[in-house]
Amino acid sequence: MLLLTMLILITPLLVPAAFAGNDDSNNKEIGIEWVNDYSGPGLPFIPNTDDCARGFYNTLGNNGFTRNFDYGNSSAQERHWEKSSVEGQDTSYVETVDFVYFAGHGDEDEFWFGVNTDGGGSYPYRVHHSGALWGDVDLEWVFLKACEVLKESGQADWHAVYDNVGADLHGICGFHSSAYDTKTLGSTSAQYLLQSYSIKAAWKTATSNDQHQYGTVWGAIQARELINIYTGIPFLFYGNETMPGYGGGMYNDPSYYSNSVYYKTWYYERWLC
Amino acid sequence: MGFNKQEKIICALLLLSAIAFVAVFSVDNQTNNTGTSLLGSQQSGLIIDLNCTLPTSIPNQIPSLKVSTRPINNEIVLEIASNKPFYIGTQLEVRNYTWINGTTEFYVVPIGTTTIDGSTTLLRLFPEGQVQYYAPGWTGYTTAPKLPSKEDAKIIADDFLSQIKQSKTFIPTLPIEITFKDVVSGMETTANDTHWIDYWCVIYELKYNNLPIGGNSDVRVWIGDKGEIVGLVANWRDLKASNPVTIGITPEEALDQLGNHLKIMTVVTKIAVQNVSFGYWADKTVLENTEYIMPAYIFDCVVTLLDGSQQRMFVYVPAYK
Repeated sequence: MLLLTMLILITPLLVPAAFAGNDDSNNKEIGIEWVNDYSGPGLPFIPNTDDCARGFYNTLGNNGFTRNFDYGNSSAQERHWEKSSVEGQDTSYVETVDFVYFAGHGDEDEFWFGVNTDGGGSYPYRVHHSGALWGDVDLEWVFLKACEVLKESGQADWHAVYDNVGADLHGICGFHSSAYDTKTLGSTSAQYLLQSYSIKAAWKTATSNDQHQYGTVWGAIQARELINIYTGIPFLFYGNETMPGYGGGMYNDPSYYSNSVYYKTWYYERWLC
Repeated sequence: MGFNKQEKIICALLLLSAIAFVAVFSVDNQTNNTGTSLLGSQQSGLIIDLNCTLPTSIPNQIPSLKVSTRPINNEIVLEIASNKPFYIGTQLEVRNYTWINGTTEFYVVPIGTTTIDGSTTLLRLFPEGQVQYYAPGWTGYTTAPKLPSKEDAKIIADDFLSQIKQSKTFIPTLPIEITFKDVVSGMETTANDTHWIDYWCVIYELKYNNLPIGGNSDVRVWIGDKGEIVGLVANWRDLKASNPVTIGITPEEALDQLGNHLKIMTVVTKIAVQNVSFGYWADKTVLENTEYIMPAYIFDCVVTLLDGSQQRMFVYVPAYK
């Protein structure tokens, strides 16, 4: 029994950083989608989302990451993010990359597109949490430069997007509050990631730099956390991952760890930028 | 021209550019002394309530503020990191990073650090004088901390700033003043169905000759469990009066332009202006080089979003053409 207890306690110290995802012949794939023109759903034009998303894409792409897709305006579509049961095509788009970045309109529970490719019929022009199921193929992290998608009152609604067989989404970075339309958040957050900041620290620091001047913007992160069932001690917090090749790297996917030993929960944090 | 509080007028609407979708309006505020306008904005139908009077006695000219760079090198940074109030050990190394926008930051980490997760970024110093400090080993709490009262948090933060004044760290002096502004929640966590505030954020405003400097220009001290200081973000700079700037925008004209400067990424249905002040605005982030800080009108607003929720926002409109 003593041996078992010791093994449980020291296990966190023995966990190696590992390749993540279910399709990890390349674990440095990135994709972006952005929307300036919202005349379709009648929302305000946003001028800087293209620069913002491409800053993320090119900063990482120029440093060894694989650029898989850059879809903007009418080419950026909600079905790229949605599961097949609502006629989405995520396995051909966002699930083909490890890190995906979106810049556009958002509000609590959803983010918006300029064209309507809705298959489910309930939420045209937008990805609602009920239409998403991420991490079952390759996707690990979702970055959302969009207002309020991770609002505290609704953040738990996103827990279900992790509930697939693979259950291997690691986390979502976004905003609790409204955010300002800036050109630089994508490139800034990518630069922090390339300095071996953890994903949480990179997003927190980048959003704080980028949105500080407006006084009341709140950034947010939601990520998987594994807790040892026997000890109650947090074992892994995926927000502490770093980009592959920078710092400690990525952890094994959540599904790698036995449910009989680890309780898989979510950690949510928001901060004044 | 005075505006009466709580009065309302809705003025005329929008010309939408078919391509840009940006509204441009013409509102005759010279004959409008009332409190609500429907103004140029990111979207049609945006109502702006003026719940205060506009500032009067605006000078014709004020100096621009030139930003000086501070002497900084690895030795200076290491000495600051090794002494009070930032004493963070001796096994430290200084690293440099040059940002895309040109500024080079100096940061201090324990020797051999590979992953920067907040617990290991201890001190960041920037050539214009800004400082960021993160308490060694701190990335957040795993259970709810015992925070001091807001009053005690302010006392602790005041004392911390006093210690910085005694150190070799740059801190602005008169005519720049550092004045207490507020104590607010700075970070909150939800884990295992429990929610808590991680730290108080004690905010100080910077003023130049009694004019507020808004934007990327303030000081925030983070006070955590039992009053421990877990962070500092000091967006102060070394500023000198420089070339005079003619104030070519009236407060009324600035109000007209307010909607166009609220570049928010969600749908806003109403802006309630709670206060308008005349001062300066630093629009460049800590990661960019700033040459000058220029005069601006600072609007303290409460915006109403499409879902009915409200959020306080600060919006600036340049006071010069």
